[in-house]
Amino acid sequence: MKTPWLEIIESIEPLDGVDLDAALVAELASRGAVSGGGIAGRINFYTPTFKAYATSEIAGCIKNAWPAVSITGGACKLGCDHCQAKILEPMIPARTPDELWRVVSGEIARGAQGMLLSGGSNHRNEVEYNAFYPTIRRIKDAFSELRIALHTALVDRDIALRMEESGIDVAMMDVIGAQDTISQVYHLKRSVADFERSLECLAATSMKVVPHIVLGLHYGRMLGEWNALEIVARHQPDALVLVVVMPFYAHPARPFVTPDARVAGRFFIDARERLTGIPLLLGCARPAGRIKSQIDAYAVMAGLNGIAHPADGIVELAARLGREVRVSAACCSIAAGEEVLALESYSGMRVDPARVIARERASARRRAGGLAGIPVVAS
Amino acid sequence: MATVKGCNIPDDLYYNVENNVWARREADGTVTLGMTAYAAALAGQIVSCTPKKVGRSVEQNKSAATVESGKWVGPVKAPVAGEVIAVNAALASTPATINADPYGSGGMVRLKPANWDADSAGLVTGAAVAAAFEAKMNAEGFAGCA
Repeated sequence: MKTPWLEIIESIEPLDGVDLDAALVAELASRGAVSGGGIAGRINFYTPTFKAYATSEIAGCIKNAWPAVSITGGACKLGCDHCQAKILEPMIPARTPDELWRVVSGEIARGAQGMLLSGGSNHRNEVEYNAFYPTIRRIKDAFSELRIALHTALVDRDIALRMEESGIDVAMMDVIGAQDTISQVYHLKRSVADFERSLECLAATSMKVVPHIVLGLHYGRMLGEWNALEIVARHQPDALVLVVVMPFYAHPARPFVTPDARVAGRFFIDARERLTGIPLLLGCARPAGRIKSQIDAYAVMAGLNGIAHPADGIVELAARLGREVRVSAACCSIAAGEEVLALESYSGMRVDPARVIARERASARRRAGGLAGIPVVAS
Repeated sequence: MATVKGCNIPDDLYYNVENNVWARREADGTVTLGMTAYAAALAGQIVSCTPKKVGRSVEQNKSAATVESGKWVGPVKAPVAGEVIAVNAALASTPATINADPYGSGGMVRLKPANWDADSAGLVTGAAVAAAFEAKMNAEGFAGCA
């Protein structure tokens, strides 16, 4: 017998053909994470502008409100098996402090409201920002409204303080909970304790701290994710971003399997229950295709608070499940490019999802230019 | 065969230039569709192609498939209306075929057209193709296919 939630899912046309585990859906429904208001009752959908995006429900907008900038360009000494530095490739390079100033000034002139600052790691999983801190401070002093989210990588207390003093708004780092993953996937001689110490150092500053946990990081399989969740829980960050490893970036010689969406769904349940009161967000990185629809559907049902670039049909699912839907996509003035600032700054727009979806579907054929009407971010 | 800014744009196909998609009328009256070489170049390496299911009807200019690359995710809009009668299942495992061979093995969906004559009347084909895409590329500041 179908549960009411399965019937709802089957009634949503864009989710046609998306197979969901009936037992898991029933369990998610029984947990009641999305009912009763509170933190899990609200969900925000947003479209970070470093990726052009459109579904039949919502679309990104033209202005690059939130550029991603790399201080090493596409270079990374780690060459982790899951990434091969591919994630850095689309970012805007700014390899010197002067170049960073020029890039940021130009992006602000084009309408940037914030930026993601990142870079490739050295062999110790540290991004060498040292020479850039004075420029970051100068940027923050000159453009006080600009929000900066920084991929910190591993830090010690002094580095965390320098980040804070430079005016960084949000500090983000991946938390890895399995030594084998650190050694084998990241090729690092660092420990799980190093990751926890880094998180602790960041949490001791005034920066917003938003760790990430990558599901399936051990060649597509879960290994240290629950330990990472415990580490995060011990330090009570401002939010937690969950992402799912993307197998297509892996080197063929060390392949990753595509993580099972059901496993991700069950982790969502555990994270939601372990981090009661802390915003849980599903970040941009996750496998594409039907599995993305599955993951996103489980995330909505598990009570996650935000989803970047949701699969088609997911906004309608959230609305039909009675969640308070907020969409940061209609206007870039609200859509912050990284998850936390989106969360922090939205008050967002509370919307009538039916109207948003109907308007988007009706206007889709009127959009012109770019790729099927979608502007493409220059790499 | 037309080549515009280094992009292969065959002039025997039918195009919705705005949506950057093509259609080919097959000998049996069915229609194959996909995205242009220009669209594929804009998207970069495509990592996923999720077509509509066989048996589903697709309206003209509505999504027949969802395609995703590292910097783009969006619909491939059907140039003509019809019923999906076949999908290119090989693209599930090798989506980058769309970049390599957008008009051949990168074709995505085959439709039984609802009204080919009426729908195709608004599409661009033949000698007009090159100029239409050149104008689009110039308007969008496209440097050219690599």
